[in-house]
Amino acid sequence: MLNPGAYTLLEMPLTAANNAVAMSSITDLEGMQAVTLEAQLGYGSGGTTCKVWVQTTLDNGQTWIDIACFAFGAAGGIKVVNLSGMTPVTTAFAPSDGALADNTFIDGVLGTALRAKITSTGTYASSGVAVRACAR
Amino acid sequence: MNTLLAQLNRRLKRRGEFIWMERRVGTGANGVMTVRAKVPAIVRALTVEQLVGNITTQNYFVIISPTHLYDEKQWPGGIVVNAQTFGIIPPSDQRLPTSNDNAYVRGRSRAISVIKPVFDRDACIRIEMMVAG
Repeated sequence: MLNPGAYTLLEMPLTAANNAVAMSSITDLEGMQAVTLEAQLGYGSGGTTCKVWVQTTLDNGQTWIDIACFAFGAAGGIKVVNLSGMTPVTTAFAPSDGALADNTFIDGVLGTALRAKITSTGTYASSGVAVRACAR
Repeated sequence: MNTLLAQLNRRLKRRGEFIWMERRVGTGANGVMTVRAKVPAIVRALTVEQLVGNITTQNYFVIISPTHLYDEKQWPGGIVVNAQTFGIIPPSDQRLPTSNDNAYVRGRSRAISVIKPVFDRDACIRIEMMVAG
């Protein structure tokens, strides 16, 4: 790919509830063959659930496809997965936008951009969430 | 590409020294998240003429290119895009460094005290900063 490297898809303090808030996208990832994703919840107190979907697009941002869903509760943690764009996907699936089940990942579908979408419930305090991608 | 920006990019490619830009958000012992990007910069100690008021020799004058920071590194990553308010003044660009950000320059983390994006023909052609610490 032309622009391999580490990118931040999401970085924000976690306070009031978020309802499917989409971040701006990381673009110019044409030729991406694999991506390692890291989701981090730095936990302070409060809050109930926090879900972050990592999405890709095959139509330059007109529609977004969930490829990962990191789910957290009232505890901090870091979760890492690696997805390959070279994995054959020969069984068609219906893409979802912010609906992929908790801690579920779809391998083999990497488009030209990535973005994160977050939904959280409850009111967190002194907490933060970040999602980073290392694309190559 | 703007001619002045292209000139700066060529200069940075040949002569620039690398610095790290860092943005921290959140509060608390665990809630602080950071985004970093390594970009080439022109770093200058201040001249005698620039040492006025509270500005000391601990300050550095730094110039970076928006091409490296935004187009290549896509710093500071995904952000919540502010909705247009239909006013005459659009929301400020959250990608511009602020005085809450830090820069690792010549081996130390330094606070950014002054940020001046320079525009030419509606394009940001360079970002000038004063860093201290």
